[in-house]
Amino acid sequence: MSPVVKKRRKKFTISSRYLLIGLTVLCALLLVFSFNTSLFEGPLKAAASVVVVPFQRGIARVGGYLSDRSEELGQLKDVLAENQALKEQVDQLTIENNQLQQDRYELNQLRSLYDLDQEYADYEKIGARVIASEADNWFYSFTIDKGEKDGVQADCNVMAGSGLVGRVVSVGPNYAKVISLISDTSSVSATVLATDENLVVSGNLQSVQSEGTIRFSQLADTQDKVSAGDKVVTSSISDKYLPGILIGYIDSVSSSSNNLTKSGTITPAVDFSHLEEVLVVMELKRQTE
Amino acid sequence: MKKGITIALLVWFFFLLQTAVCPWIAFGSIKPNLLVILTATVGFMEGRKAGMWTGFACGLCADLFAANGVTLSGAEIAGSGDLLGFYALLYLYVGYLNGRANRLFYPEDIKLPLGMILVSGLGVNLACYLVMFLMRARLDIGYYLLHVILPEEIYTIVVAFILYPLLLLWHKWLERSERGKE
Repeated sequence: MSPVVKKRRKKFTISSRYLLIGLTVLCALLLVFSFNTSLFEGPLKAAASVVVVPFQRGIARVGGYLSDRSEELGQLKDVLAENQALKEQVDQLTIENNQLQQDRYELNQLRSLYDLDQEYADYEKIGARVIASEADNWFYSFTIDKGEKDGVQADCNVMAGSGLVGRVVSVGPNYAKVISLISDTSSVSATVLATDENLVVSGNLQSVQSEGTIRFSQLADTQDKVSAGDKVVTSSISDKYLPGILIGYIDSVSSSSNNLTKSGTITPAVDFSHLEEVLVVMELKRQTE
Repeated sequence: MKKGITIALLVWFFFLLQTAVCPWIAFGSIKPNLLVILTATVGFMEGRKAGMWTGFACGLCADLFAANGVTLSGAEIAGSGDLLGFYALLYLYVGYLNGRANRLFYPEDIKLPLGMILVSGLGVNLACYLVMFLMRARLDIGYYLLHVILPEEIYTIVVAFILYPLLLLWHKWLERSERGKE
């Protein structure tokens, strides 16, 4: 440090120790206030939506373009092979679809009897681009480029393709923060589609990182019917998630230490490492009740 | 004045890099932590006050864009799901403590600042682990150390090799322009 700079420093009246104390108190106040109210968030969010978000959006667009191009070059061979496999799958699915359509005809008739035809209606969705991630590596959360102005609200469910990604936790004017299903603090009440039994799916950093799976617990399954590969969807008793959204497939099942319920792992339906575009479900769970 | 404005610009730029560019260069879902590089380096080069302001600003940005769903004792946050101030507090102290090492700063030496960045990153991540994971009974500290914290620190140091010289240029430019004013 040159002596010139030191001389300058004397001009300041607040010593660095007081500044430290002041800022520490400010942080503590912020913690307390933001825990109880959303007093400071409005102006901060408005500032962020002007100063930061447009640039994140621009970078995401450029990044998306570049990664698309490089993927196009690198994966042409893979895509051809995949195309072959998909064609076979299409044939198979067409057959299955025919059967399902017959089933649906029957189902519709039965449903109209029970007046249930609205229950699994298509939810209204809007597309959004992932423009930023969190700053550290502890949680799988990200920011999308749709916010309050587009009608996004906190607790809106977020999907990608046909699978559940997570939910919106906080909304700014032109952005929204999403916490993903696989995040360590997330948990979702879900149902095994085949046996209609409820379980709790919770994200777990450790199992996501090492095996690409998330955990489930509290599955009753007294008759041992649930097996690997079974579809798991959001349950109708969840308070934040709309019912019937695909979460993933059972990967392994084992008895819990209490021997009453089962726990295990689920492979998520969504590839969380390559999320670029997501769908925000505009309907909220509490409105549909 | 010049210092303040350039620091604000640096925070803005590094934050954009961190949130929008780092996901593209993430290595097995591990991103380097550029905010630690910036806060530690500014503190180390420019002293405690500059370090504190940089840290506070970086942390506040991180807070504003973090959605970690951490709720103390399981209670829902009454606001709209944001807990502001946690990262701000952490990075504030990173800036302050690195500022205290300011007297050891020599522009020629790159080992010490890299060491400071490493220690700062470890500190920040350990604090994150303690508050957000250990408190929720995620006890396997060895796993988190080996698979989250250390990879991030190594990646951060590699990136700091590129960014530190650039920040040094900024420091020298500041020094020159201050000297010019005298």
